[in-house]
This record gives sequence, structure tokens and C-alpha cells, in this order.
Amino acid sequence: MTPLSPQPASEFDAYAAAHLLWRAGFGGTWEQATELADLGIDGAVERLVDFAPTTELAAPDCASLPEESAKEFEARVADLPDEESRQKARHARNEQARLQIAEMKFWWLDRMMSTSPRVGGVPPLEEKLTLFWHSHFATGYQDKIELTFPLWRQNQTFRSLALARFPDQLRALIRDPAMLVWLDNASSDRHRPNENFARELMELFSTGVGPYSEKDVKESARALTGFSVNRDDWTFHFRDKAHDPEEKIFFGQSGAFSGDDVVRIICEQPATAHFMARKLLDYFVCTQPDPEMITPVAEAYRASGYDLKALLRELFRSRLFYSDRVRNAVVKTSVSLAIGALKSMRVPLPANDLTLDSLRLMGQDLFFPPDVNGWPGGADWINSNTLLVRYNFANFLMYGVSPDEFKVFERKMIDRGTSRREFLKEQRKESLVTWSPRAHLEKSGEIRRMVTSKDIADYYLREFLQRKPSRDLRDAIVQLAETDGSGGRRSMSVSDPNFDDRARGLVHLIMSSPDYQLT
Amino acid sequence: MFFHTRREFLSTGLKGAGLLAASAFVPAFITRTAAAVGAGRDSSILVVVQLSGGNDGLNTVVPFRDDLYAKARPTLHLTANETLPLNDELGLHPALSSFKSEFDAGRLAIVQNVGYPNPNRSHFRSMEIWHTGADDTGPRKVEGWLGRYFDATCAGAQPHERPGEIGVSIGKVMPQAFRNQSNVGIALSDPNTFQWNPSGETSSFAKVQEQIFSKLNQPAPGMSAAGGITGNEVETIEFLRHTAMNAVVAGDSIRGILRKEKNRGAYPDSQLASQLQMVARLISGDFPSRVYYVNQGGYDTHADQLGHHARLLGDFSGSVSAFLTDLRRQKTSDRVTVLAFSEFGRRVAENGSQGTDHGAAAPMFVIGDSIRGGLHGQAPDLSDLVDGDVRHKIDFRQVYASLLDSWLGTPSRPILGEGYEPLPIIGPDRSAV
Repeated sequence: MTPLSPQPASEFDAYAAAHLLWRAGFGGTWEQATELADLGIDGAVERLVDFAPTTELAAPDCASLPEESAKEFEARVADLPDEESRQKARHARNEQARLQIAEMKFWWLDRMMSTSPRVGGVPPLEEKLTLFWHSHFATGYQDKIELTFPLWRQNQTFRSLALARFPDQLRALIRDPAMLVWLDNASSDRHRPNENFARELMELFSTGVGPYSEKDVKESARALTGFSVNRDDWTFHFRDKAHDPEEKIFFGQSGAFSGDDVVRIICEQPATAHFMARKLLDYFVCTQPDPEMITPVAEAYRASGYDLKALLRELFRSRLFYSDRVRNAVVKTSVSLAIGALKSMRVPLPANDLTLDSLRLMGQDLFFPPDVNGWPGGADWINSNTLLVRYNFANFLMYGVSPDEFKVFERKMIDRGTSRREFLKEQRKESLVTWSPRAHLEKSGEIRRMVTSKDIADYYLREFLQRKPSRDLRDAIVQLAETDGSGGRRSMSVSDPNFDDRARGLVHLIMSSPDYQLT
Repeated sequence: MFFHTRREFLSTGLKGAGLLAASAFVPAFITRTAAAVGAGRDSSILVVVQLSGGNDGLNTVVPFRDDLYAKARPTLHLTANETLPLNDELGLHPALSSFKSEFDAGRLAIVQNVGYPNPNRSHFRSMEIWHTGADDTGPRKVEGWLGRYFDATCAGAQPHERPGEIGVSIGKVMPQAFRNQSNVGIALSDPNTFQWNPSGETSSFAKVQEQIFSKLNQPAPGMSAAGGITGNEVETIEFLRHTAMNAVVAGDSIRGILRKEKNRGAYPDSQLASQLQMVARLISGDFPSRVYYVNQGGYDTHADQLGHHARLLGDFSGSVSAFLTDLRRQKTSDRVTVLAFSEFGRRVAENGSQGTDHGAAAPMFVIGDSIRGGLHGQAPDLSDLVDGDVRHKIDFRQVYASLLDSWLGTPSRPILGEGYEPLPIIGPDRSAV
């Protein structure tokens, strides 16, 4: 399909399979990477791209609409006798909403956790693409929606259409209730059309900024009038009276266009294939792809009628995908970082607010994209706010210590004269994270192979980094493996009574390296 | 860059940074560039307030006398009686009452019809134009206008040899305006997150962990952090190391200042107010940065604009006024100028959702005790629109040029290019040190 040359089958080892699993999914265990490698490159890629779309998925409880509609609630509150009871009622409703959206974040994170390249697992690529579409067609909970139901419905639309052809995705989008409310199209009217959605539909969702004129924005806004929402049950509703049926001129074509014509004409534009190819390459292949890389991919994507499955299959099998330019060149999204680490540990997602707090501090709060442009990715994941939280998140996973409050508590403890050991004991929320590095090692069947501290360092580097470490990183981890609890030199051994603590320190440090931020 | 001498750095450092300093791996740029910063008791400071989403200029500085205004805005227009009159034809939105007193005292400059050629109505592209200072008529730029100012303060031949100043953005993200060749800035929301927590059971083991951590995150000598995330692994790792080290070192200093310094006076309860409160405390604690960046979002008023816009402007003027009061009480107000901008104004005619769509030129605000207040430029001409939007008469880079030349004391031409005549908005006796 594309002129991308294929990667030789002989060069597909477990490291290459792990690279594929991180990009097409959220990482996995080293064991899964070796199993994928055993399938060979064609088998492994097919295992990831060939899945039946999840069209039927039961809605979680947290996605239900409140039994009392907003209108009914306001009427009831207005009838309450005094301000205090009105405030109490509002508070209870807000608290209910807060819990629902928090639960929905956990629901999605749990689904990402359950992805697996093994037969019968939740398809990793389907969830990775659902996250891609959530960021691409970024819709936020705050201000305008503030209900879980429409966002869950949108999320499930993205999932069921994860690999669909782009025009089908756009046709679903212009009928998506959450989007129509988020970008004000629901209230757009033929007499004074609202341009918000029409503009972003092109600028951010399809052609990119540039190829359309201001006139095209105005004309497509007219064509999209009437695409609205029934607020009682949050279903799509075409308001016939609001729709402008007159002739429009859009990208040089004229006709009595409606929303589907806008989608058709948008998808005829070469700019759309180019813009989407760039975004897909940026997400799956490498940050800031070169123009020479984008053009052939864009042409092939458009020529195939936007066949995303064929495109990703080709990319994941290409020599380019396994080249030095592409490997380790992408910053893990905050969600990938967290899910990938937990998968390496083989433990479930800690069901605690600290998990969600950490993700928010790392800059990726699901259902709360920063704006309609979604999460820009690349360098934007990393700044002085987020990077150390990423590092300290490792401390949370290893010890259950909150990523932002450790030192604050520590200072208090020092004031009270408590020892560091007692303090840690108090801080660790053992019920949240009960990871035993020793059990991890025993389960791998490699424990007998662990003769020197280097063996132990290399084991955890392989399990977590899943690529060959830089010399700096390996030296550092080995140095720590050769340091005992009092700071003196004593090599680590599997018979150490405090093996688990020392090994947690190794993993904490692996995840506190710049290297671990990349995939 | 936060300490003038190595000795000062070592003595100021709390446990974390102190240990890093004591190790053989202190990032050289931290100690060696401080002298170049020049921040301290006497230097001028710029605080940029970004009003994100596209502030409706026409309902901010209202041309109440113009019939075309009320005609284009059947549900949204404000009447003469509702506004706070500045002269016979213009009045401030009623929520801007505290700005009215600043205006009357000559401490608020309103620059009218500010924009740029070929206005772009995309939030993201227009914001990029305001941040980089490069519009669609010329080549794109990646570095920001403030970033190029930081680079201009570098002492070396190559920016990364002797990095210059850095800025502090209060909030979650780093503005593109800060992007530069020599270093990474500080994006600050909670300074408690600016530290790495070792996990060792004993202090001695924790110390070893910290040493190894600092080694892993040690910027390589002479390497630039400007690459950002380029797709090149070596450059990306260097960017990550600079970011980590700047945060660890700045974190100790910032936490120390925030523990010590208190705000003077009441602020509104809002995100913008908390950001400005942090800036006021950093200024009073002499944190060595001359540029601060804060953000207020929510101006993209496509629907139900009236009440929403009033709340935004009330928060904006209330927060900035409280900030100025705070500075006056800490006696630093003559050193601080506030610049407020938005990526565009809004369409003159309202839409059918009681809102307005993306527009073009709009007013900009310059506020402070050392500026020349009043109205600069003419009221918008609503009979001469471009695509239904207000035509720009003053280029935003003229405002930037005024601040660079007369406030930050750095020639604006190398930073912005030719042809941006500065405006007389800075007081004559307050050029920077």
C-alpha cells in the first residue's frame, strides 16, 4: 500500500515486539513481548491490528444519567424552605457527579489495564486508538456537559469505530451529543449560525489550519445548523426548523449542503489525509515526523479510502517503525507511563484517589483534555511540574507514598523525631500497592539465574525498560544494587532478608530516569 | 541561575539541592549564570496576563455612542448608562470597576485596535502568532518573543554556553512565548512537586539514591536543552535532564520564599488570583526572575456570553487590582508592569446563541505605577470592517517593542524585527537597569 519497505522478519526479537506493544498498546510484561516475538513480525502485527470491534459494551453504573433531571432538580431546590437546605441539596448533587466521573476514569483505566496481546484479551490497539480519538476529538466534562453519560457514549463510539474509515468517524462525530454541546452546535440556528464547531471540525479535526477560507467556515456552519441534541435523554436530534436548507458554497462546490456533504467534501481534500497522517505518525511512530515521511503515508491513506487498519498494519511492519529514528523517540503519555509500569509489575491499578491525582499532576486527566486541541503530546508532557511527578509516581507504585506530599510529611516526622524507617512504615499504604519484586522474580522462573547483583539489576531493567539500557543507566542501577542499607558496599543477593526493599529501590530509580520516559 | 555564587547556592540549598550541589555533578549553568540575571531589588519586572479564548474587546471597552454597535449586538450590547465612561464615546464594562480607578489615576493604558496583518481566527494559530511574534505574512518562528529576550541576556557566544534569564509561568504548562535557545523555563503550579523523593529505608541509603538520581539527571556539559522533544533520543534526554534539575534547584528556593512571604491584602477567590498571589510572593522574596506569566481561560464565548463575560472581567480586574495593591504595600509596585492580551477579539455581529464568534483586533491593557495611562489609538471604526471584524490599527509587536526597549531595557529590534515603532506607554523616567 505505501512505499514503506518492510522490516526483515529475522530482525524481529523480543525487544522489537516490546517496542510494538508499547506503541500499539500500553506495554505489557516481558513475557508477553517474548510470546509476541515468537509469532514472528507478521503474526505479531496481525495479532494487534486484527480484532473484532467492540460494538456491544455494557455501560458501567457510573455512566448513568441522574434519575432526577437538571430541570427537575432545580425545581425541587427552588421549593426548599431555606438557603442552607438548598446548599445542602446542591452539594449532594455535586458530590454524586464528582464520584461518577472519578469512577468512569477508573473504569477506562481498568479497561486499559486489561488489554493483552494474548488471544481473548481486550485488544490493546482498540484502547490505544480510543485514547487517540479522545484526544483528537477532544471533548471535556467541565462547564458545558458535567454528566458522565454523554461522555461514556462518545467514548464507546470512539471505541466501536476505532479502526473505522475516517469519513465514517466524522459522520458519527457530527451526530455526537457530547461534541455538539461542547462546541455549541446544539444551539446553532439558521438565522445566526454558531461557527464554533464548524471551524474546529476543519482546523483541529480534519484539514488542519490553512486550506479553508473564512467563507468556508461560515458556509459549513450553515450546513451544520440543526445538528442538535435532545437534552432530556442526551440523544442526537435534528432540529428541522433550525437547519438552513439553502444553497451553500463550500471548498468551491455548491449545493443545498447538510452535515454529511460537509464531511464528504472535507474528506475529498488532500489536506485532510495529510493532517491525519501527520497526527497518526506523531502518535504511533515518532514525534514531529518529517514531511518526507508524511506525504507517502498520506497519499496511501487517502487512496485506500482512509483504511486505517491497512495503514497501521503497513506502518507496524515497516523498517521505518523499527529504525533508530523511531525507537525510544516518543515521550510516553502519562496514562501509558502509569499503565505500562503497572503491567510490568503485574499488579492491578491502585483504586485510590492518588492514582487519579498523579495522572492529573502528570498532565493527563481523562475526560478533562486541556482544551479542544486535546493533549498536544511530545515536549508538552514534560515541564518542571510534570517530570518530577512522573519520577515520584514510581515512589507511589513502589511504596504507596503520595507523589506530592512526601517531603511535607517527612518534615513533620523529622520535627517529631521519628526515624525514617518508622515514617515510611506510616506512609506506606500497603493495602494500595502490595508488590513483591521477589515474587515477580520467582514467577519468572529466573531466580536461580540471579548470581550477581548485576544479574538482578539487568533483570529489573529488562522487565521495566524493555529495551537495552544506556550505559549511564545500567551503571547507575548496578551501583545501587551494590550498595547496602547503610550506604556501604554490599552486593545484592536473592537471599537478602530485605531483598524486596532493595529491589523496589532499583525499580524506583529505573523509573526516575530520563530513559524511562521514552518509548 | 537562582544564586549569585556557588557559596550562596550551597548555603541556601536545603537537603535535596544541597546534596546535589555537594556532589560532583552540580549543573554548571545554575551557578555560573546567576550574575548575568541582574534581577534583584532594582530591576524591572514584567507580568503577562493571558486572557485565553478570545476576549470580546467591544464589550470590554464599549463604543456606546456608535449605533452600529447596538445594531450588531441586539441582545449583547451594553448601554451608555451601564458602562463606566472613559470619555464621550467609550466606556468600560461595568465589571471592570477597579480598572476604572486605575485608569483615573493614570495607571491603566488601553491600547486600541491591536492586531496584526492577515488575522488568523484559529485560537491555536493566533496564539502562536502572539507568542512567537511571527505572523502569516512571514516565516514561522519556534522561539517565543520572551524566549528571544532571554537569549538576548546570554553572556556567551552560543546561548547554551552561558544561558541567560529564564521566566516563571504560573500554571500547568509552559507558554511558547518562553521557548528559547539556551534553557528551559519553570512551569510552576505546586512547588511541593518540585522534589525527588528517595525511597531508601535509612537516610544513608536514601543519600546514595539521591546521588545516583542526580547523576542520571545531570545535564551534559555544553549541551543545549533547547532541542526539546525532537525525536532525537540524545537531545530529548538532555531536555529532560535540564527540566528535572531546574525544577529541583528552583523548587527549594521557591518553597523557601513561599514559606516566608505573605500576601498583603485580600484577593478574589479564583485561579487567576491565586496565580498572581504566588507571583507577588516571589517578587517580594526577590526570586531572580524578571518575567512572570499567568493565564485566565474561558473567553471563548460562543454562547450565553453576557453573564459569563461579566464574571470573567470581574475576576480579571479584581485579581489584577488586588495584585497591584499587594505590590504597593510591599513597595515594589514601581518595578512591576502588567501586560494583558488575548489571541483575538470577537465578531462584531453576535450569533444566534447569544454569543460571539472569533474576530480580529481588540484592545490590550498595560497596567502599573510606572506607565503612562490613558487611551492610546482611536476607537474602533465599525463602518470599516474586514470580514465582519474590527480592523487592526496598532500592531501588537509595537506594544512588545515598547516593553522591551523602555521597560526590560533590551533593544527590541533584534528580537522582533524591523518596523515596529514603540508606543509612548512607559513612563519616561523608568527605563530598566
